[in-house]
Amino acid sequence: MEYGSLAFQALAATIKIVFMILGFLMPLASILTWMERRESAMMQDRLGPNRANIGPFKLWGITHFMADAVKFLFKEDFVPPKAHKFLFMWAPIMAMAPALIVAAIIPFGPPLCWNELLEKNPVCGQPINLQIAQLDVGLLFYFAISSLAVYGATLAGWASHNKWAMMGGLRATSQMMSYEVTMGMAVLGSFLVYGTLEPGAIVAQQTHIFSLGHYHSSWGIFLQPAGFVLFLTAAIAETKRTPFDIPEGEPEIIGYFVEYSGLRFGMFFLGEFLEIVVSSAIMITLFFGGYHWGNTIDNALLSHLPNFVFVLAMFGLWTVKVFAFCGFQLMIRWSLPRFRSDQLMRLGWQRLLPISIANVVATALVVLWAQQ
Amino acid sequence: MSAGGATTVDMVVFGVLATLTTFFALFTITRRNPVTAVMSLVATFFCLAGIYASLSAHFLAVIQVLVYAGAIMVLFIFVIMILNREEVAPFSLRPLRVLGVLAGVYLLVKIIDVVTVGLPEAVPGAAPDGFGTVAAIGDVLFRDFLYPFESISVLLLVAIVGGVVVSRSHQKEVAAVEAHDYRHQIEELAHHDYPGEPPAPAAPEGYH
Repeated sequence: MEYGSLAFQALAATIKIVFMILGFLMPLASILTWMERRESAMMQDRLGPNRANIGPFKLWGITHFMADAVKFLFKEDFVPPKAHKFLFMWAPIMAMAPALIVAAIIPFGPPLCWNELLEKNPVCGQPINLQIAQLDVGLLFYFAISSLAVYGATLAGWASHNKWAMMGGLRATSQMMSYEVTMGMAVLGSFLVYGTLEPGAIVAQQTHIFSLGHYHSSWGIFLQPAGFVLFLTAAIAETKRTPFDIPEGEPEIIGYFVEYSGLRFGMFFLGEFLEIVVSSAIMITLFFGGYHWGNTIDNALLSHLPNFVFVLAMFGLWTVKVFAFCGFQLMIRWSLPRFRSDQLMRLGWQRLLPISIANVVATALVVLWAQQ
Repeated sequence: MSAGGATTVDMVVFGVLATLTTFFALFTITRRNPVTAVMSLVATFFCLAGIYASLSAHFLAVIQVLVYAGAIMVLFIFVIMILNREEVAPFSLRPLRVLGVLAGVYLLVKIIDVVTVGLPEAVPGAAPDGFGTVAAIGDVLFRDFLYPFESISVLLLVAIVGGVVVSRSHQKEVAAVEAHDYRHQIEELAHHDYPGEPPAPAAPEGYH
């Protein structure tokens, strides 16, 4: 098969999609379902789930996620008699699908050099970009698709024909709408600094961790610290987890998925963790150099390893970064108390949004000044 | 894409998307349930975005999903859920039905007109490089059409401020009127030894 032909591109894209979903997103999200309970147990001086095992292999209880999956599959799939059947069926899919779709724009490794797989320091005449879709609109695609995730929660609440579910749906709508605005404003600063919207191009620029001489190639966290904090806050609010778990609100209304059982509930459950993985990956892309680990490490690996081993190593190191970020998000959930609904709205509209707009204006002025 | 015309793949993609768009649009106006109708409209917008993307207007496609499907329609759903109305037949107003039939007939005549004339022979060539990209759109918006763009921005800003003013709570005005009444009563007490008749609660002015 010839490089660059239509069949080659189609095959490469298919492999990348399958690898991204089955080799990265799903396993990581599944492990997070176990990790969340185990981490919370450790923080609260409990044991947590540590019993599930396959024969003698216990692995600290990691196999719990398989037990969960089996349990979800075999539970009764109950649909409330007065529910809107069609929307009740589709809501979990609408909640989970956006997280899988937006993963298409995340760059997960340096380009693979097709004709120089065994070379060290390749010229890379035939690169295969490790990113499913290189879109000119880039992160706008992320915002467009992830803004659709709100339908999952809203429709689940409405279609269940249950007052608590309905309230959860309404809360989810208002919360996700509010924080989407801040989220969009928070990354505008990064667009201005790197001069592009395309995540692959943004990562390709962040070769140094921090250097004054090449400030354009420093990690985003040093160029846009305020943008990072704002984006992190908004991203946690978008995943509807504590301290922003008003739509779920276990102590009061249970939330928009109160009527769901079995695999349909499992989809909401897994969808939440998928969103954590994807938002972590986007934050790594924008603010922590993507797959880059600084000039020194990158160059040492590049010159000492054959190309495909180098790519695999960089993918592994990128996974470490994403995993650390997921763990950080879990830790936030178990450290902070929850907001009240009015506090949530005040934080979103009266604190975060003005700060993010100020950040954009300040960044624009600095970029303009630096260009002259 | 071959220069100067649409390929078979383009035509197939357009056919599928156009069929779906029409189908969902019909669905929107024939559903009894308002939530189903709104979701059909979301699907319509999504398919429209697909048509934009296949015409290499990628930025427009993404904005279509982001603004219409992701924001405005969510507000529609939100309002419908709060109102929680009964399912009503979509065509209930009789005078409007007559108007609708007239408009439909007019549209049909126009469509037949266009279809019978036929498409122009010369198909415009392929879009120039960089057409529909963010950079190209930015160039057009902020160089060629800066003043119209800015005036629309100001118009939207005015609309937002107006919306805030209309929806603002009037607690402060109510408190001010009450404070005025109390002051009046205290002044009355200063002039008389006994509290006079409390002033009749006048129709509150200054707020609504």
